Amino acid sequence: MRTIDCAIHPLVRHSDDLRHYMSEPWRSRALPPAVDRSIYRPTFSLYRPDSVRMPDELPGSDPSHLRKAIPGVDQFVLLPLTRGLLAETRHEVAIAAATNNWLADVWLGSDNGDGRFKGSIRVTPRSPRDAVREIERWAGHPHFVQVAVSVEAHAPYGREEYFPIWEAAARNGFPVAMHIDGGGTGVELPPTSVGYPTHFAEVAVGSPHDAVLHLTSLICDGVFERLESLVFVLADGAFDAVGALFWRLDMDWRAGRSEAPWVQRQPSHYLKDHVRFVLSRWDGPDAGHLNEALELWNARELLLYGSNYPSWDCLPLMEARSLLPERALEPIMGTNAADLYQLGPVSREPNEPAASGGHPTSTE
Amino acid sequence: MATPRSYMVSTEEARRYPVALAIDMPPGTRRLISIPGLGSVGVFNIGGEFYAVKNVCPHQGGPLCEGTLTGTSRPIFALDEAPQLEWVHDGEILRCPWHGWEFSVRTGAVVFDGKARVATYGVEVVAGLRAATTFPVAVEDKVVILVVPSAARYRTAK
Repeated sequence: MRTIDCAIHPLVRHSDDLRHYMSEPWRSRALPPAVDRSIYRPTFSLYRPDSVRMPDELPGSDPSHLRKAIPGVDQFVLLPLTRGLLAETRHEVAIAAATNNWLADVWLGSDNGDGRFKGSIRVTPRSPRDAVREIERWAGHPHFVQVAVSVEAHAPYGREEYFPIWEAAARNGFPVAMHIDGGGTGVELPPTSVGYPTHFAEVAVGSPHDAVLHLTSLICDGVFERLESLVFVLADGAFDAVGALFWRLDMDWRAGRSEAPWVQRQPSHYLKDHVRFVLSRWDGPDAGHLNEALELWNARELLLYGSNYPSWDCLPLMEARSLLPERALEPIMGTNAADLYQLGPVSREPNEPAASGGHPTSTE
Repeated sequence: MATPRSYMVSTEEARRYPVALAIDMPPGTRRLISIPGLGSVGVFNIGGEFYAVKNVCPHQGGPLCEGTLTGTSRPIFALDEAPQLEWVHDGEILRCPWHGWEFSVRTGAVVFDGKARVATYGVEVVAGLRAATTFPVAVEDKVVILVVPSAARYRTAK
């Protein structure tokens, strides 16, 4: 079965390696660290222990190590994180560009001749013109398949100032993925409107909610009506939270339609054509009720398998396969992503182990 | 001389209920009338034309015809600016007082993209009994008549 992992978060081997991909003045400027920036830190490791190749290297920083660490996957969609929102937006723009330079060099370059790694173009929503330029810069590259932005923002993404970015993404055939950057540099807004929670787990609860708020903004400001081919990918999960939120949104839209007449369809009707969710961690109902939950919310069409590797809460391949009902397996594990990112088939290397219980490797 | 149609006529197909003198229902006004076996119906004069809708919102049964009579908005899209809206159907849109659902009084259809619909009925404006004369009928002589098909009466509201 074709398997595409839509949420890999590679890191540079060492935090300062990113400087090699920058020019001055940013190359010499103080750089926020690649990891451990958040003011909320878990008491356990954020990363799987087997994701580190060498003791002094960051997790998920070696392409060939990753290929061996995750057998059974045909293609990986890489979504690198950047270094949070910065007060100096120009620096943030330089970090995004350097991240793209690094990804193109280390992951999508000459070692990626078989096209198994696909990448995301990081852009800076706080500088829409730079973001559009960065999208245009990489638009012709054979291995970039989407644009990626952080969930952390200073305004919801349906607002007009961001529109040129989504327009450039849609025009170039790129979905836009959103993921938490893990902030901590001080310019992010407070995590909730009731103040600062005490513990890591409380903040983790909020993050899918923030992504859904961007989604409701995109719908309610008519962005999907204006850009018919635009697709947003919630790369941090949230699928198991979105159902109840959309019931409320549908209800309030019926009453408040005249305020936003550019929402020409019932809000939940935009999901199928314009939104996808990475499965990543499935916090949802236990196995007994899982099938009903997935049916209720049209998981079969909306979900993309993604492990979130090298994160501690990564959803391994075999566990995802055992969770999903039979008829949803192929779309969620691979064909939805292949359609979304327009991925042709690839052949696995002959000496790569097939996932146990899966089919033998074959070219398609 | 034309025989005046009696507004008390009840046929197999429909009953005709007098609502008001036309002169007492200028444009923008409405009347609620209770129909045996059916319930409350709202009759509206919109720009000189009369319409009638059932006074029960298909959402949760609220008193739709007691809601605000207003207009609604329609989107204007342009590629290089945020969507704008224009005000349309002024005076023709009824908003249910319970949850604000918008209905076209003319067609009974809900304004948002969906299938909800409130029942509508015909309204005639006829000359009253005194119209059987050789003089032109004056507006003072006209009566607003609600026409309710027999099938609509005694149907239990769901």
